[in-house]
Formats: sequence, structure tokens, C-alpha cells
Amino acid sequence: MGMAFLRKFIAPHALIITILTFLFIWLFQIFFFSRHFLDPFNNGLRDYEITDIVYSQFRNSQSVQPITEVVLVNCGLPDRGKLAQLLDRISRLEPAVVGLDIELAGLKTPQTDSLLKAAIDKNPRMVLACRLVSYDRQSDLFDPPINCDPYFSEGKKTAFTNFVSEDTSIIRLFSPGEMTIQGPVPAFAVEIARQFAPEKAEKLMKRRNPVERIWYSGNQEHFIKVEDSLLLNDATFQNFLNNDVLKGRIVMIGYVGNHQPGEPEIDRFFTPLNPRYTGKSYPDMYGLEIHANIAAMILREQYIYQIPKWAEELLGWLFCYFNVLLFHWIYVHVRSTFHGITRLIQLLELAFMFFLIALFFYYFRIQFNLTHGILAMVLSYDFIMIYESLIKEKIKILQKI
Amino acid sequence: MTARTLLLLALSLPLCTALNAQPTAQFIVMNITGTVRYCEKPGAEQCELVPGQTLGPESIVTLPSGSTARLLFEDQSISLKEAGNYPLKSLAASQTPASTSFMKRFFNYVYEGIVNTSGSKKIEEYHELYIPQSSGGIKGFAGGDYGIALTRPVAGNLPEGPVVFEWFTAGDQTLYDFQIIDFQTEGLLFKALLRDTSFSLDLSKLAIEPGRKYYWYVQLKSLGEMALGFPLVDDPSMRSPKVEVVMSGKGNSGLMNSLEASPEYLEAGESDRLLMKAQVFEEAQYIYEANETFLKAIELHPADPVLQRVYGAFLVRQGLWQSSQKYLRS
Repeated sequence: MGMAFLRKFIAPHALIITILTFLFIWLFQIFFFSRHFLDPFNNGLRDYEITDIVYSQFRNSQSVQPITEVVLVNCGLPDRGKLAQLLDRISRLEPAVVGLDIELAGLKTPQTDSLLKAAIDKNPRMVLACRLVSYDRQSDLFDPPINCDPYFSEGKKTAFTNFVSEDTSIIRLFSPGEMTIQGPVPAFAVEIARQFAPEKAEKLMKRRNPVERIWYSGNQEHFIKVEDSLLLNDATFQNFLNNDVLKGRIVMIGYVGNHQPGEPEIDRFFTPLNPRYTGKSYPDMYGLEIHANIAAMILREQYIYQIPKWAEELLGWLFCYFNVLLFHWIYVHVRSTFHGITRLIQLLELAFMFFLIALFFYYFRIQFNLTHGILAMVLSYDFIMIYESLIKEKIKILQKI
Repeated sequence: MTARTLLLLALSLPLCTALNAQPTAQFIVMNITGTVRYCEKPGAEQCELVPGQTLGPESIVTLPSGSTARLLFEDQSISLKEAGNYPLKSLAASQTPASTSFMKRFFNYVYEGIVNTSGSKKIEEYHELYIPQSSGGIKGFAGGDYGIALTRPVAGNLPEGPVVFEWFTAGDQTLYDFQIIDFQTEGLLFKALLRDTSFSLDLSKLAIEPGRKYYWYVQLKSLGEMALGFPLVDDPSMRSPKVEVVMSGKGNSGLMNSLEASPEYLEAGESDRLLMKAQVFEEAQYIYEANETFLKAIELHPADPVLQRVYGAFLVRQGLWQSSQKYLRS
């Protein structure tokens, strides 16, 4: 009875081949992917996702949609006196929120420090940058953030500027907030978005994701960027005053170079927008631009929807199972053309799956990882052969199913 | 007024509006380096442009040499790099939206992937095409290897006010791209495309931070190469040495106090006094002023061989071998 029911809905041979294929993938991952001889292959591909191609190749690079909510101010590597002057001028331009991506660690000279403090206090909605360093796995807490002296941060919001990534890998994720011994600390862009539009930041918090994927709206071309020299110049500053350029906008101050060769490699990262999405390339985005992208993503509520892991695995199993079912049918009924037809179908399916993943990400920001399913589909051809010519031959009970 | 007239008027109103419609698209200024000016319409007063500003299609942007501007028109990014006047109306007309659909981009990508699969094979076959793209090693950085030799030392602490930058000619058909760069950030402070080998610049007019280090150099440009692009490869044979300078905001008025009070100075003759001053300037790294003082001394006593040799030795210390020869051989 049980067997008849199984036969009605599930093809047992296809199911066994699917299980064998996934078992192989699982074992391969455990034993071989950490082997040294595979490192070049492994390292080249480990930090790569299909959706990177969507960002780097399928975006319409000729069509620039400006991100006007945020204005980036390049302050270079300023001393505190200059920074105070800059903040003073920016406060006169009445921005909605000011985010200072310059770590103010310790005190320097009393004169410049007090000037800077006064300039910071002039901006009512100011977010100062700090850095998270030591994490205690047992307590699941960070040490208090560093690099923002209490003299400056007193009465002001501080937020961490760390990204979620390995040392040189692509920045795809950010953490909305972390818990320290002293209490919760938000991410820099999240706090800026909260100061600008609290209800939008609340929506992010309601998602309750420990990390979020960054939806990159654009690179340096998409932001209004102001050089500090323009703001510090009396004549040009008057024009800023006359034109209300910063009024009501988010102003993020930090180091944003011009992406020119020979510029110092400071605060530069790899992102999925990099035209070279695998292998060796140059970092393509400054930290401040990434923060600006995160802030824009929160304000525009453009979140990336990740399919749950279990659903991805289920999809992978189903995808492999139906492929095995099809290929097995071809193997049994048209064995002479099995090789050619199967390989052709695999190629078409690969292209179609790639298209589907890219399409869902591009239009709906839905991301799903079908690596296991696709790998299983590619291997299914060989496993049908192994199963039919070796396993089924040796294990007699399988012939009776 | 009859109902019929009213109806006619009502019908003609949208038509008139459509006929009088002006292009409403505006340009957004996304980024500016240097000073860029604009006027709202031809003949109107020029104002300085700032990032974030929006400009109507009647506006004209004026870009001086060395400045750049990036504008956004509809969804097209427009980079202005060369000096000149840019009427936005014609700039808007010249923009052709070249957007392609997602499907087209996808199939282009797949097609390119298929066509360009044999990368290493292709490089082997057409290696001549690929050779210029990469080169191992660098050219020597000895003084003689620079394409442009400097005549006058403009190094160390610089005074406020006009400074003359000078270099040897590198041929008639040449332009010189003069640049002052921030040493720390590599940000461009000043840039000018010149025909002459001498250039006087009032540094007090620049947004210079006193005490901050900058460097200046001159890059060769041929007459046909007018674009002020950033050279991808730093080739010393195409430029002068990069000379570090610090803008001295306070000046050097107190520098000579102790010298001028010393008995040796008071007893010395005029040319000796100038030599002493030049030495104090040089020790304090006021190289430009030391040079000017030496020249003043030579002007007073052109036949003094000691003066000539001391000055020649000074030029050698500054790395100006070519300039020093004239004085050392005399």
C-alpha cells in the first residue's frame, strides 16, 4: 500500500538519484572545498554572487537616477580647526541632519577642540561616527565603541561606521544595530535615517533582521558632492546660502576622493557595483558613499528580500528532482540521444535560471540562492549514469522498485 | 459671450498651452572642481555655480581651464572637462538617450560571454594589441630623467604674494599643464594649461591653508592634446620633478632679526649681507626667497666669481643641475 502510494506521487529512482547527488555535494563541500589545491578557484568564487552581475552588468549605467536626499561633503583629511569651520558653515545652511564620518578620538589642543565642540553643538541633529572593536562571544556584547571622545559626543547621537564583511571582501551587508556593554548602538546610516525620518527607520527595525543586504542605488555619479573648499570660500559659500542647496537635506561629511588613479587608498571598499565582479580589481566605493546608499535604501524603503534558507534548499531539491525525472525518462526511453539532449537542456536551463535570478533581483529585489539546485542539476546527468550502470546493477533490491 | 464661444475658448486653451510649452527639464549640478560660473540666460550677469543647484535650459555654463563640472540632465550624466562656454540648450539637444532594456543588456552580456570566451588564446594571437596595456618596471627617477627641468627653485616655505614658476622649454609645439596638488589628499588645488615656460601666480588668491604641504609640477602636453585629463601612468619623462612647498602664512619677517643685529652683518659689505640673508633663508627652507636674494646679489655684482659659484652651488643643492652650469662654469 505504502509503496503504491509512493509510486503514484514520487518516482523512487529519481528520488534516490536526487538524494545521492545532494549527498555528494554535501560531502564535496565538507572534504574538498577547504583543500589547498582548490584555493584559487575557491577564493575567486567564494566572494561572488550571481546578483553581483546584475549590479555591475545589467544596470543601465547610462541612466543616472540622482539620490538627492543626501549630499556628500568631501572634507579630505582635515585638522580639527578646519573641521570646526566647515561644520560651522554647514550649520548655517540649515541641513536636516549632519553625519560626520570622521572619528574624533581623544582630545588634541584645547582651542581647536572647544571650537569643534561648539560647531558640533550648533547642529541640532548631528550624528557622530564611532567604531566597534571587541566582541565577546560569550556575552554576545561588544565593548563600548571607540574613537569618539565623550567631550564631543555628550548630548549627541553616536553611531558605528563598521560594515559586515571580511577584510577585503565585497560589502553587501550592514548591521542595523549592535548591543554593547553600555547599551545599543545603531549603524551610522541607520541613525542618520532615523534623525531624518523616524518612521522609515522604524520600518527597518520592524524587519528584525540582524543584518540587512544593502540595495545600492548608485555610485559616485548619483550623489551631489561638495568639496570643502567651496564651502570654506566666502564667495562660493554665499551662493550656497542663496540657493538653499543643503537646506532640509542629509549632509554626510567624510573623505570622498574622486576615484582617480594615485589617490590615497583610504576608506575605500569593494562593492557589487564594481565593473570587475570577480578576480582582481580596485576598490570602487568610498565608505561614505556606502553609508549614503544605506541611508537612501532606508528612506526609500528599498529592501532586498532574501528567500529563507529552507525555502532555497527545498527549491534546490525540487529543481534537481524534476531534472532527474526528465533526464531519467530520456535515459530510459531515448538512450541513444541521452548525452546530447541532456547536455543541451542543462545549458538552456543554466541560462534560464541565471536570467530568472537576475530578473527577480533587478525588478523585485528578491534574492534567492539556487547554487545547490543548479550544481545538482549539472551533476544529475553523471549520477543517472552511475546509478543505472553501477549502483542499480550491484544492489538488486533497487531493480525491483 | 455665447456658449459656443466659451466652448471654443475652452478647447483652444490646451492647444495654446501645448504650443507655448517650453522644455521644463532642468540640469542638476552634481559636482564641481575649481571655479565654474554660469549665467541664467545669454547676456545676463555671471554667477558662481555650486553643487546641488538646478539650472534651466537657457543657462550658459562657463568653465575655466582646470575646472570640471558634472551635470545631470534628465537621467544622463554629463561631464564638462574642457574650458569653454556651454549653452545648456544645445547640450540638452545633443544628449541622445541610449538606454537599453534589461532583456537587451542580458542578451548582450550572454553574447559577449560566448564571443570572448577564449581570452588567453586571443591574447596570444593578437599580442601586439595587448602589449601597450601593461608594462613592468618604472623609469628612473634621477634628476636628468625628468622631461622638464626647472629653472628657478620654488620649493620649501613660500611667501604670500606673487611667485614666479619657471622651467626650461621642451620644444615649440608644446603646452604645459601646470598643477598644484594637496600633498596629503592628492586633491587638485590649481591647474592651468600654459604656452609659456614662466608663470607668475599670486598664491594668496588661492584657497591655500597656511602650514599645509602641497606639491607642484608641470606636465607636457602636445598641441593636439587639449583635454586636461588625468594621466593614467605617471611618466617622469613627460613632466618636471614634483616639488614640495608649504605656504607660509605668517611670513618670514622675524627671520632676519638676529642676523641684522649681529656685528658680522653690520660690518659686512652689501653683497656679503645679501649672501648672509640668502643663507638664513635657505637654512629656514625659504628656498624661493633665498634664490631671489642670490639673484639680487648677482645683479649688484655681476662680475663677482665667488658670488656666481656660491649661487651655482645653491642651485645644485636644489637639484637644478642645468641651471647651475651657467654659474659654476663662469
